Amino acid sequence: MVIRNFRKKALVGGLALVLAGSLLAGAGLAAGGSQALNADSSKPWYQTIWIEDGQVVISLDCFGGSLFHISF
Amino acid sequence: MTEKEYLDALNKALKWLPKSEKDLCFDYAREMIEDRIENGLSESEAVAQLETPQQLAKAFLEDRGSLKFKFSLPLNNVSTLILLILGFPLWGTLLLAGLMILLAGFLIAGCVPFICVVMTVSLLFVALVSISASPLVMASVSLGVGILQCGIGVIALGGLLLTALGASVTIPLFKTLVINTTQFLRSLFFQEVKKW
Repeated sequence: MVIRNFRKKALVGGLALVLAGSLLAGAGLAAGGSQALNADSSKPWYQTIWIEDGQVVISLDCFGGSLFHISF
Repeated sequence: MTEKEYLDALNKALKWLPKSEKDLCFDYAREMIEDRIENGLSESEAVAQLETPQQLAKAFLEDRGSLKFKFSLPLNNVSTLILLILGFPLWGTLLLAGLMILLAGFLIAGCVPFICVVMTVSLLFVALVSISASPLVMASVSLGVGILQCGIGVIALGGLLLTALGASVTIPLFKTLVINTTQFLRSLFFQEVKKW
């Protein structure tokens, strides 16, 4: 019963966070984020979203490798 | 504790077992309770006299681990043995192919929980870095990119909850699939000597 409730809460919480994050990301784009996304060589390592070769990259680069990397 | 509460607790303690095996243990517990009720005890008194559900489950699992099996194929005459040896190139390769297909199936099925766990861990790092570093990005890159990155971090946080949920659902399913398949394969060649 506890597990079932936990799963329900995790599902609702996960979907709510994805929705909230999408709204926040939309706000960031509206605040001029899209113009500043083109990364140059001085991009700090803690920047996890940028545009490279015309593609949006979401990546976490650390220790000389990429822990997470998607581009679209 | 009522009989239902006792069986619920027993069910929780035996959650990894297939239903058919759990039913054996439930039947045993029910029988023990009914015997005591027939002897004049109330339901709660009968339940109180039993071992705790955890103790009973432990005893059942230990006993199940030492179940005896006997080979059930009819290999008791020479002609069958000769036929089996001569036919080995045929049935041996088919058996090997079947085992490889089964192994491939397990690997494919195992990919789903594995990917869920890997995604959960990597999304956790993405969420932590994205959210905690977004003020720095706001200061050093631009306000818009910082807010966008914070949004990405929140999406990653939601994604990790969903993938963790996926892992919590698919890992027990995968475990049940492996247990049921191996028990089915074992039942083809071995006959269980039941104790419960």
